[in-house]
Amino acid sequence: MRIAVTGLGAVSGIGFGVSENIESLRTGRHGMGKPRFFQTTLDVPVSEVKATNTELAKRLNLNAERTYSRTALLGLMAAREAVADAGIDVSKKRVGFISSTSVGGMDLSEVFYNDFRTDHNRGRLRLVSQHDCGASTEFIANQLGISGFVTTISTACSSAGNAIMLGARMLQHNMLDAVVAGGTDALCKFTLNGFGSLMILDKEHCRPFDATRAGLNLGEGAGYIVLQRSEDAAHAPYCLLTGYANANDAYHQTGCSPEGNGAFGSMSAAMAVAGLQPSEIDYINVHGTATPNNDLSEATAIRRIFGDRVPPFSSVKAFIGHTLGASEGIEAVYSALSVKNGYVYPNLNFKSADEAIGLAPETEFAEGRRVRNVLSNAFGFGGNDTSLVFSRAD
Amino acid sequence: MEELIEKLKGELIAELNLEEVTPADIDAEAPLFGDGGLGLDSIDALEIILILERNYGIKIENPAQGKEIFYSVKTLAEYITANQKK
Amino acid sequence: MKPVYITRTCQIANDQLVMDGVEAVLDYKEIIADPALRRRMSRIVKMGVACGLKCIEGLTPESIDAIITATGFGCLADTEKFIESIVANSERLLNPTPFIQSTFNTIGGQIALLRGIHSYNVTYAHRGLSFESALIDAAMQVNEGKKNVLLGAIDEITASSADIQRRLGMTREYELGEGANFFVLNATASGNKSAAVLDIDTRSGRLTDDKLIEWIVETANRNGIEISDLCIVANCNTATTDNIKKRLSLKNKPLQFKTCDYPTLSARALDFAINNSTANKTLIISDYQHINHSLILLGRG
Repeated sequence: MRIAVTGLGAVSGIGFGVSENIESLRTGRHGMGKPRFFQTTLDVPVSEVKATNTELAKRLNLNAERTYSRTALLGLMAAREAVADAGIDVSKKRVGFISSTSVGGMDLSEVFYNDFRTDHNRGRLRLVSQHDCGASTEFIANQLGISGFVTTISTACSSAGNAIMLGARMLQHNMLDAVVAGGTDALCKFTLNGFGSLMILDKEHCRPFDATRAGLNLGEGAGYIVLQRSEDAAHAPYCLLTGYANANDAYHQTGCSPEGNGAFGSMSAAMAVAGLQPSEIDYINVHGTATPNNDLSEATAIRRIFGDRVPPFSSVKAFIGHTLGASEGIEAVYSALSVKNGYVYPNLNFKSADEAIGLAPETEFAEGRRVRNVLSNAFGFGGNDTSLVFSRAD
Repeated sequence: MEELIEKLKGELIAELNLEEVTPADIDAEAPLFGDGGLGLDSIDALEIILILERNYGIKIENPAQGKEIFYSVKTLAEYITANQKK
Repeated sequence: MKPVYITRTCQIANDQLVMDGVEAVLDYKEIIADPALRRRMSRIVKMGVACGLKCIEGLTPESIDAIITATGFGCLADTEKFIESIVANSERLLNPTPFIQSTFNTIGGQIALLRGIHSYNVTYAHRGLSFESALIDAAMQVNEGKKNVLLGAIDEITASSADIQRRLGMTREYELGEGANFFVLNATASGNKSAAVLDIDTRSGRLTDDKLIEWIVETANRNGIEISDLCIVANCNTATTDNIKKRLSLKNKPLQFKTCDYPTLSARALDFAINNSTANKTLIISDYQHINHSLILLGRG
């Protein structure tokens, strides 16, 4: 069975919709700036979606008077774009929606908590009733009119990769005919302070794979792709999803092993599912968070697989930040277009190679390259590593 | 110095939740991290940074910097004595 | 999909450990031997990790092909602890431990870490269908040729979440509950109580008893089973159970299971069904807060 990618949707700090995202990547316009849309005293760059919740609700033709979690709004925006792009009839029973998020409606819960902490009878209930991860998923599914299989995965930063993998497997098992899969996450105090407490936030603009890299910048957004069996596609697909795998590093709760065991496991297994040799991968969209630990560990795993023939690779995290549960949703969209149009994205802010890594990423936007297969990585807390392979449909 | 070492032992046990450890179990010169000592890990290192800043007014910006300072309770006490502001 | 067999069950609830339906000694220090990891664990993490470890006791790490967990609300105590520290300390000098432990996949990740299991590891967090989603994934894994798939569900009550759920009207019918349930799934039966999962179906939104009964009949028909032969395990309110009793002619009296409520209670209902139903075909009917519904059809191993 061939699984086709037939629809794409993305919103991030560098654009509303897929074309604005690509235009920003093409012109080197990143999304970093001081936090403007949520209250924090931390002085670190973040890549926010440049709109208030009210503006987002208006763009989505929702009643702007009501309270929505930002996670739900961003998710609806990207998922709606993906569905329209694929031209699928979502009212059919065998259309599924598999979303993912790392913190769900936390952006509202932390507002609720300010009142609740001193008196448990206080705090607006509408602010906390959307706390759980399933809330944004159900909201988006209802808005889209999807009544088939709906679920939510939450495996920290690899969440959306796992959602896409589940979608592909449900098509393989003939449990669904079409599936919208990806992830959404809004920035909030909780995650920003969480990564701050781990001392892995860079106070400057992050520099993936650079010798001077000193941590990550967070971002927010959402990304979804539509998967169908290729014979069911309404139009020529962007590409095929040929490989997927999930492996566990089982080394440390938040850090990666020096040998990159989990990353090695997920990348090699995804390539095996796709039936590909290392020489057939033409671009790797790396996880590349810009923490000293992640980039070294990921590079080590890449070397173990590709030896001295490492294909062109880059991290888009200096553009959009680490968007956590949404990251592989957005990056799957970028990867699909890399295969379709031969795009290779620049790894912004890379200047000098790290001797320990010994690899240099792509630094210029390219198009029309021969890109047969793209390998895309997403790694998360709990040692959770996921890799996807996107391949040309012809 | 002895007094500071005993105080630090108590703070480590409390802050790092070392439920089954008593101050007498901690050898001031034994390594805190890795095998053979208390077996602390990188998350503990972050918590020790907090102890230094909260209780002694000493700031450590980069966790990698802590490696030698955090070798043992004794090295920690020496560092505090040399840098304490509070 | 081919049937999959549940070859082990393990439950921790009300401070009791029950393995394959038999009560066993619950000693967290013995089960989670590494004090360095245990000291950071909140109640839900301890409960979940211990339950998962007991469920795979004696199996080698290499023989476990997947760890799939489910939780409706995740690690609430750690989540609140971290939010509280953000407010109390004005976003300064925060202890990272509750943040690390608050992640939804903490329990699955810790089991992998403690036993060195490098295989597939995923967590579902989708309200009252978290466990059903995980069960569907686990059944797919077994059908893909995977062995010893560890499947688990965990939820905890905290004082704050109890107050919030009470204010949201979620405790009108049942008091809140909590617990951990783990299972090992395989392609073939083994052990004396192994059960076969024959069908899983889910629905969201309000469901009238009429629609529910229609759905039960449909499910039985699809699987070629006489309704009268079914033993029903009712993880729904007693009014619905009474309606089912009245409307369907059943040889076996439905077993009323639900006495409390939490998002992954259906996992405990599955454990109950495996270890208590003597019928050849058992149907577990679950209703979470009248918004999430599932039917799980079991056969004998």
